Amino acid sequence: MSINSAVVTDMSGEEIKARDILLSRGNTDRIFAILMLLQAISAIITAFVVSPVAWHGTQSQVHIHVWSAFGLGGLLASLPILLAFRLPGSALTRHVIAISQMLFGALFIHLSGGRIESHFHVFVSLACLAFYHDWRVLVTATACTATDHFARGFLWPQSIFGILTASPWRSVEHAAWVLLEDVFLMIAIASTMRNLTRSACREAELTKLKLEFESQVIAKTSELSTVCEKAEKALRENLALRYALDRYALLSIADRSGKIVDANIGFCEISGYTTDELLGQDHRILNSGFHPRSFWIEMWKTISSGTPWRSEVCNRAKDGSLYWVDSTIIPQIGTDGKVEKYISLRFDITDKKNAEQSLRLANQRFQELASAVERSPDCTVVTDLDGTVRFANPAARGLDRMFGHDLQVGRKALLFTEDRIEETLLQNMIETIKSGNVFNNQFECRFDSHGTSLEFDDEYKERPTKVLSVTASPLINNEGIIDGILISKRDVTDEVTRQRSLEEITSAMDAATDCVFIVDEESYRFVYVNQGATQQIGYSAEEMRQMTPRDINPHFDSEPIKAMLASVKMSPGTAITFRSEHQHREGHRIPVEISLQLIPHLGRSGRLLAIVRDITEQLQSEHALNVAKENAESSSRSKSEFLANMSHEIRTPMTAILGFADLLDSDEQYANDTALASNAVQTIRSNANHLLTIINDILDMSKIEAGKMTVEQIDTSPVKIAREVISLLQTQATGKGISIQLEFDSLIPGVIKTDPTRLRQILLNLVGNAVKFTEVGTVKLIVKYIAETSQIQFSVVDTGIGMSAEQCEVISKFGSFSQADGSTTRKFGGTGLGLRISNSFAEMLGGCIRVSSQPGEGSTFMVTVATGNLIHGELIDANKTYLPIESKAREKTSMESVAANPQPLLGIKILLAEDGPDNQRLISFHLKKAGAEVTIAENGLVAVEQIAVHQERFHLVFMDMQMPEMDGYEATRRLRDLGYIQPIIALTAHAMESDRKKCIEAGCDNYASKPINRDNLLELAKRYGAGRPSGEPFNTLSLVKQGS
Amino acid sequence: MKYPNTQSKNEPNRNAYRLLSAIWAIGVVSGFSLIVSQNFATSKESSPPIAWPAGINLELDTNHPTLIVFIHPKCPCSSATLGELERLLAEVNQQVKCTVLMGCPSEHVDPWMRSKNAARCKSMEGVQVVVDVAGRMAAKFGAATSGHCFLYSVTGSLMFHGGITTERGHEGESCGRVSMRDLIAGLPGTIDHSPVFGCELVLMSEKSGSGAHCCQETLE
Repeated sequence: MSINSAVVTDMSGEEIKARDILLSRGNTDRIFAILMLLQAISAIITAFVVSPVAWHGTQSQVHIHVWSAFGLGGLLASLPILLAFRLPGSALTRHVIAISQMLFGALFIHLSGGRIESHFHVFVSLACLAFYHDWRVLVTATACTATDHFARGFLWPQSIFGILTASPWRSVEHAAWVLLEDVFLMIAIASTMRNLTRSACREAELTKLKLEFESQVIAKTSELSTVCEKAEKALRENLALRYALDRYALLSIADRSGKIVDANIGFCEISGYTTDELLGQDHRILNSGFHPRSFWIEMWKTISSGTPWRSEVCNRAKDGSLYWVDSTIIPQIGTDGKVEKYISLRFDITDKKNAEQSLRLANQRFQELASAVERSPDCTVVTDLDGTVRFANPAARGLDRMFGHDLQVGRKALLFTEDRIEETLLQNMIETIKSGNVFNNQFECRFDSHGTSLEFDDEYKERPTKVLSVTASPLINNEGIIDGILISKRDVTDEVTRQRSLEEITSAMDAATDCVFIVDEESYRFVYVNQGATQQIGYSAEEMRQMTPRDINPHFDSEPIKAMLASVKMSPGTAITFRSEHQHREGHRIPVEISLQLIPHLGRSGRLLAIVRDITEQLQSEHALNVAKENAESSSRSKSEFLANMSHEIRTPMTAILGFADLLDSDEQYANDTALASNAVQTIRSNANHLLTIINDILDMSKIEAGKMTVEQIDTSPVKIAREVISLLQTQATGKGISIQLEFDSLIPGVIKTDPTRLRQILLNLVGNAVKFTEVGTVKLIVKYIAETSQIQFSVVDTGIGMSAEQCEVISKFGSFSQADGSTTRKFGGTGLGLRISNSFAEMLGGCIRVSSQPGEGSTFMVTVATGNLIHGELIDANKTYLPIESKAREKTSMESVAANPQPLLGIKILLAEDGPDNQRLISFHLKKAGAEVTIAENGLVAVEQIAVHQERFHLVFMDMQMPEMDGYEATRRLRDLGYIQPIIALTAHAMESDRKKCIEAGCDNYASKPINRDNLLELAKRYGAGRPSGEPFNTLSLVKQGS
Repeated sequence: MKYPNTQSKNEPNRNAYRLLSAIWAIGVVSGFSLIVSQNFATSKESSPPIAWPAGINLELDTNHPTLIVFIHPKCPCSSATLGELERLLAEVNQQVKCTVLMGCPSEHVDPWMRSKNAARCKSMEGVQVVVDVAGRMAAKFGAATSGHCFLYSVTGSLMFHGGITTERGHEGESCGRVSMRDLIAGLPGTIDHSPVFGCELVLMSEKSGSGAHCCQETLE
């Protein structure tokens, strides 16, 4: 704590000096206390460093100096530290400290072994002790040192100077140094004490002055406080008054010239101006123009004379709004007897003025209303709750007179005109009114044109009828209580009549199947839609009334419809019919036929009437009709194209056949040159075979188209058929210089259930096509068994011309009479039937044909056929299995046998029933050349006669099935009926399976189709004729039956 | 902090403190007396040989006086003796043959000879340091306290013996050093004997054995 912070008291200079000295010495005590502690620690450290142990030979012990440092050092420090904190500033404390400090010097000299430096401790200690500013302390310290010297010199003289008898001048020298320091320190102490005395005296004077000043300040402050309290009280009162004025009044003060010099908050708030905006202005800134100039002249005249003025004034605020104030202007007279300023006190009376204005308007409206009610044609009656009339307008009175009543104020009257309905309706009305609701009702009544009361007599029903509408509302008084009824009656006979007519029309229109829309001509909003329309569009009638045709017709803004609308508007009453679309609420569109016309309307704008019919079904029928027509046309086109194609395909080989036949017949060169003739015959045969192929295809196609084609399901070896096909086409492929290969891509069933003929036909067609369309490369037939679908897949892969994607698509349809490109027919030939037939066969065999191709890279035709149930089947590795091609082997054998035996039919008698002379000659030529005896019958009847009547015996009969007189079927049937048992081989141009069956059913043993293949003919003749006896040809029993 | 009111309030305590101060003064005086008395305590010394002892490995210098000083290698008080010895040798300007005998127990010769006293002796110019194993030489000279000096004349007669410090471990001009300085200088000494202050030397009686000849080491 510093002296400046001490409490200022009235102290003398001596007292202040004593206080300061005391404080200084106390602080010095504490400094020495710390120094003592440090010296004690230093003594211990010195002892440990210099002489920690003493030795007795080889034995050591703690040195006496260490114990001295602990004991004596601690003792020297303890009391000074205690006194420094217990008795700071006391003489005892500083003298003990002086002694202790000097003895610490002695201790250090001992502990350090008498090092000369340790003697400096004495002089430093004296200098430090001078901090006490007490010369007596120096005396004590010096005396202590001297005592130590003299005492030890007396007891241990050599401990002082090292010798037993030292020179006395050394003691004098030692003492002189110490005394010299003492003298200088004492002089310094005396000087310091003088300065301290002067400083204390100055401080005492200053303190005295300060106390006097403070007492004066306190007195003045007390006076000022009293004044301030009064001022604060006055200020509070003024503020309260000002607050009241600001809150409840509008105050402004103007100077002599009328300039505003003050305005309170209320004035600013109501005027909208800020104080800064108002100050310096005169009150004309608020002039609303409501009051005439004379009003203001009168005001100025009054207040200029010093008389207060009061009036209600309309002012205009800054935002332009008007407000009313009750204004009082009080002139304040100055010392010169003139008006010094004007104090204006105003009160806002805007609400009051507005209320007065509202009241005036209400009265005015009431008068207008009363007048209107009086003149109104509607009947208005005001009654009490019990029906006592308070008011009735002339119309009401007139209406009641019409029914023979006299409606008078203050009396009860019939409210509903007729007694028969009065009681019921009156009761309902009163209950409704009492519940606070409005009562509405309409009723019919009859009246007497003479204005007399009606009785329920026979003539009642003959009276004219009026429909009255009654509306009764509760009248509520100022207390909120219903105390009366306002009844309004109106003759609504005409309106009801019109309404009923309208309802009838509406019902009729709703019942119509077509949709009816009525649209306002100008706004295009729907005015009316019938029920059919709402059902068609999906919106309710209410929703439709908020919509326009644009919302339901996506084409409404199109040019054609705009043109039609313009046309309709130009010709009212003329309907235009057109087709368009309506959009259902759910988004889908409805095709409609719209009949639109403009109809007259009483209002300003006309009405558009649209009769709309849903033509969805009609369009569907039309569409179906068009599709059928297009299909028919397309079919006709296809047939025509097919016929043209067939014509071409048939005429081309026929041209060659006929041409070369003519050459052989008439050309001498051909007739004489065997080589040319042979070439011509080969050409004729080749073209004839081609023609035969075409005919077979046409027959197959016709059977497929007719659904007559059937297939067999017999055990068939797919491996064998594949090899046959490859073998048959090997020659053709080799002739074109291309390779043809057969691969088996998996284990293949040895036997499947399918039709071997059709399967062979399919593969021949596909592989044949591949060979035909491949100029360079390879044709592969890859066979694979697909166990998952129980099918065998034959893939015909070629490296031919290939097809584009579009051509593939055309081909994949497997349409009749189609080829990928019409030009291919011309280039490669063919009717285009083969693929279609093959696909039909494949489908009948439980599979299909798929096509993939790349132009220029080749095509792949994959045909699948069902394997059927593989009960006996086993899967074989066809690549390692050799199956002999039986047909070829058999063919070979047959050919070899024919070649080995030029007349295999030698001795066989054959009846040839054939009507065609050419065929007669050809067939008989082949048979005779083979050694047979041939008898010819021109028709079936001749044949039967020759066998049955003439009893000619034949080994075999070749029976043409189409003959005049009697066809082969009938002839065969008769022969079999007669019990003829010899073989009959049918010859027919009908190559269909059904024809074969028909032949067998007629009794034939086998059949050969035309054109007759020589080898086949001879094979059949040999099989059925060789080795068979030509004896009894008839079954005896049958002949007996026939004869009987 | 309050102003200390030292006049009246603490008057009863003041007397107690005065009494305490008196007791404290007595304690202090007693303590100092004890220290001083301890510093001046000396061991009982045997009579030294007045003539250079025969049968020792030390040689008497026939040109200058021979000074023999016994030092305990580990005695802290002997630091004052060595300081005074350095001053003496400096004062006599090497006109004396000085040999310092460091008494060591036979089993600790090496560690003891690495002490500060031994190192200081080795560093002194013109001083021969000899290990007095087991204090046999000390026994020969009758020395029992570290710092005991023996000054023999060139003829082998004892001129002075005793310590050269004023008290135990206390440097400063002493009567012993002054006398020896004068004797070496050929002047008559003021005294021929002074007390020795220091630790007790290692004596032969502590480590039994005989044959002084075989147990001395000389370190240069």
